[in-house]
Amino acid sequence: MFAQLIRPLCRIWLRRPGLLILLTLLASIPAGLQVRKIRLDTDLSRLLPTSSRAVLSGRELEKVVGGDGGYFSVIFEGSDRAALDRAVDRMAQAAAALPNVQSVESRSPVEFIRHYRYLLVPSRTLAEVSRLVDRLEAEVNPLLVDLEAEGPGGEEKPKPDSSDLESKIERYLDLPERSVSPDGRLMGLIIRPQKGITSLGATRQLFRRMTQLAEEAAGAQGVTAWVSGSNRNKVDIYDQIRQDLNRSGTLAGLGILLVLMVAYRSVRILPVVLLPIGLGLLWSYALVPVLVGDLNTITSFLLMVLFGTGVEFAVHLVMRFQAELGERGLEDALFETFRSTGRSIVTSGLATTFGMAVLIFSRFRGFSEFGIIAATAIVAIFGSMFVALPPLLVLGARFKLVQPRAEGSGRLALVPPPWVTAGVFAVAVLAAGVALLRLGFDYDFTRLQPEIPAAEAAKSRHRAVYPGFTVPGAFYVARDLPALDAALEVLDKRRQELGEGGILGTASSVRDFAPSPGEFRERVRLLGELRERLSAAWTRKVKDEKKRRWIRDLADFEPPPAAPTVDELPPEIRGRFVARDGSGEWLIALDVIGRSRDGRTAMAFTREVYGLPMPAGVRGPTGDKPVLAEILWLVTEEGPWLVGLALLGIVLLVFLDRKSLVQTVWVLVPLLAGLVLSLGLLALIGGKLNFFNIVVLPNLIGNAVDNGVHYVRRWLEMGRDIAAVQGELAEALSASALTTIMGYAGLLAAHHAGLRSIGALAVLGLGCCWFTGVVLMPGLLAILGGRSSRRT
Amino acid sequence: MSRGFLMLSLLSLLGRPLAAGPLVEALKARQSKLDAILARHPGELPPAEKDKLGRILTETLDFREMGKAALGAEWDRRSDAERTHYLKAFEDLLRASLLRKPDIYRVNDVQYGPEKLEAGAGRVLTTVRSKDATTEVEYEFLGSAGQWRIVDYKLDGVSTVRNYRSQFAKILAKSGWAGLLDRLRKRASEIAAET
Repeated sequence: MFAQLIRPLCRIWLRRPGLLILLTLLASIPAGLQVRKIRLDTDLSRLLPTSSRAVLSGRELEKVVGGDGGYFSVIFEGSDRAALDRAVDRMAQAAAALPNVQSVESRSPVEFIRHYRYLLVPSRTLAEVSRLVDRLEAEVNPLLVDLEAEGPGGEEKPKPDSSDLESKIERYLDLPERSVSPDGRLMGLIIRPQKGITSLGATRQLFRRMTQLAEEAAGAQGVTAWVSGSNRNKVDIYDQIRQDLNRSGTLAGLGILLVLMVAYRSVRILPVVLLPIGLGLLWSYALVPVLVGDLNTITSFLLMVLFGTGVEFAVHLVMRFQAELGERGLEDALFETFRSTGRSIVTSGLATTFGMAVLIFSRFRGFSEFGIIAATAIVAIFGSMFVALPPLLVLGARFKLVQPRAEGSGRLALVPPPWVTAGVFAVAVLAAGVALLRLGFDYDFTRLQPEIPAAEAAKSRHRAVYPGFTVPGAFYVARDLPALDAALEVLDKRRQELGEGGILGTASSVRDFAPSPGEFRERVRLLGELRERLSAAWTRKVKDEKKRRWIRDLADFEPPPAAPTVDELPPEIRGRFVARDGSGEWLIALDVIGRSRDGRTAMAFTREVYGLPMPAGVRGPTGDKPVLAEILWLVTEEGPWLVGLALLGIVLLVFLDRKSLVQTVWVLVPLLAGLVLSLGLLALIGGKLNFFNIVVLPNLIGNAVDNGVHYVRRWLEMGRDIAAVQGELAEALSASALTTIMGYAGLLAAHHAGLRSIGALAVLGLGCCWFTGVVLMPGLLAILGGRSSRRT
Repeated sequence: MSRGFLMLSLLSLLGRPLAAGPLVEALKARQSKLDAILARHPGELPPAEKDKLGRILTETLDFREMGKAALGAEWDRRSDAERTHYLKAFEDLLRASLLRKPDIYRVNDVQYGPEKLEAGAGRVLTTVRSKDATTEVEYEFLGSAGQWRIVDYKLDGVSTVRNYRSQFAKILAKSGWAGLLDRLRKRASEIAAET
């Protein structure tokens, strides 16, 4: 059936090969124009389904909150304090005039804060201060026991860390008008844009403009400027991914060319091999804007991978064509190539496509779009192998670009002895055990971030000026003050229910500075108690001078009779908590307790906030933690199913092709052994799966099954002569595996740790599958049921 | 009823200070017992002597009243059995804490302020001078003639009962009733093991 189809095609390919190529190229011009529309979107929420809660909330509130509530910080560095002051003032003035800027915080409203100081401390914090006073009393009173101290050791017992709490109180002692580093060499200001990272274009523009303004302000005062902040990080990530893609793409391309040149020992043959792949990729990428819109972080690197994968088809076909050409005329060689190897690549192409297409069923768009693009590309490249490659082979043979070569002339025609095979098999079994026991999932997002040295220098200065300044885990938006109070009550109640081990951190809002009447009374009551306790004689025995300062200041503080109203708040404070879209709604910024970049923290926090019933008039939560959490939920939930489905589908495909259970098992042996070997090795070297590299697994399954498909087919066709098969295939399989590896290997040079982890797992996995394909497979076939005319 | 007791009762009703009354006498008697033990052992106290010291220090304390006050409103919410368990743990903690540093009872001089008696309650402010520091210790008593028991002691203004009330409230909020009892027992046994 397949052969009957190939014969007439051969006649067409042979008759007008030049015309066919010309027509194909002309037909590809619209695709080239369409490809120019492809954009990259590095927003992580782009990886989630559009119906996910994090995405819906993010869209609804992006203009109110400003994306993820991000900011820029501009830090000036120099030894002249007056020059730093002038630079900050000039920058503040210039930044405030920019159209996309919501607020600029360059001076602290010192008089206001000094006047109200401890009344601006929320009652929950004052209660913590009361607990701190309990401990201080216990420290100076030998008859009191601090019940919170842990373990034996008397006075040496570790005390609960109160430095954060104390720094919250101490900041009212020497209120600086400026944000300055402890050594006084750095001075900063915070700029909050109207739009957040959801409008990356606007954010990049703003970043460039601010960098320019900061450098002008710094230059005029003879100081240095640094631009940092969460929004700069997003811009950096985007730029870094683009740079990584260029670098990785170049390296991958060069690597693939090198492998092809070595495999064919010819440069002239390269256009014949590469043009069909290029055309296939062009056709498929022309569909990207229609099928998925923009590329995302995970699909961004796919081009090189598909290039590497697509080369496999051409490698097998061209090598087989060369072998046939050595024995037959052009037409018969072409026919035999596409009848036999053509059928193999149909099976392996379908398997690879299936491995990729399985991802389409994922709700995680990082996977599903990967699947859509990859499956489309494999089909397109596969199509190109039957449209563009045959006429190119004909032209190549006629113009001596493609030279014939003798069957079995491969230099890798070694069949391993049985003990090597048995050894590899044992190692694979052992690796499976290691993988099962030790392989874990990496939830730590800090290990998946790009490393950007230039940004790190700015970040370290930012941290020196604004220690502990972070983007909150989530935001809520309250319609009015009563709704705000009701929401704060819900959060406070839940925080109390969760106790100290809870995940909910501070909920910052305008109420911190303009408390409700009830909260004001509670603050006054707690302050009264604290003042009385801190006025007692024991405080004279506190040895730490820093503690004695805040104790004296708090004891002497006479609270004003009334709290400030929201209208009395200075704009620097009010601006932080009011909606950025001018609607007059109020923001609640909710912090996370725990390692904020750890995915498990993000999941626990999101589970908690998603379960909180908020009162009417309150929207949210939105922020980066829910996005991270939903990504991890989807990936960890769907990952095993996708891998299982890919395996199952490929087993079925192979069975349909082979129509024999035994042969199906033979085909799958190198794949399964390679897979467990690579996972075991990954676990042994301390590697983990993560939400970036897990996408490699179904992909790997689709790619690596090729080895078995080709091997078993030729083994049967060549009368089970394993040495002859090894002579023909070992080099082709090695070349095709190496080209795919090269496609991924470029990612090893990426600065983005997530992308790098994809490259690492893929290179390891493909390497292992190649090893089991050319070492385990021939050995097993030799042991299980073959003959070897040429064992070496 | 003796004439002296009548006089004392009248004065206590008026709430006027007394120069040296039963509370001061009780404190002085306790201090001389402590001094006698500590004088016999200038170095570390043998365990038996430490026990004696503990008995002297605690025989004047009203653990029930102190424990009740330290628990605040939670006391009323607890059953008799729960109160008994709690009081035992509280007493163990207090006893252990009083014996944690026996050397603090080696004092050079104690000055006793005037007694203040009012409706079954009394208060004495003392100034304790030791080698290292001078500390104001204020005792609060409850009871009547011959039956005065200490219900709180404040060192330099730090009330033992109030501090524990504050700590207990936070532990109750965080870990509940069982958590509080666990904490009391754990800390009492830790301190007892240290001493």
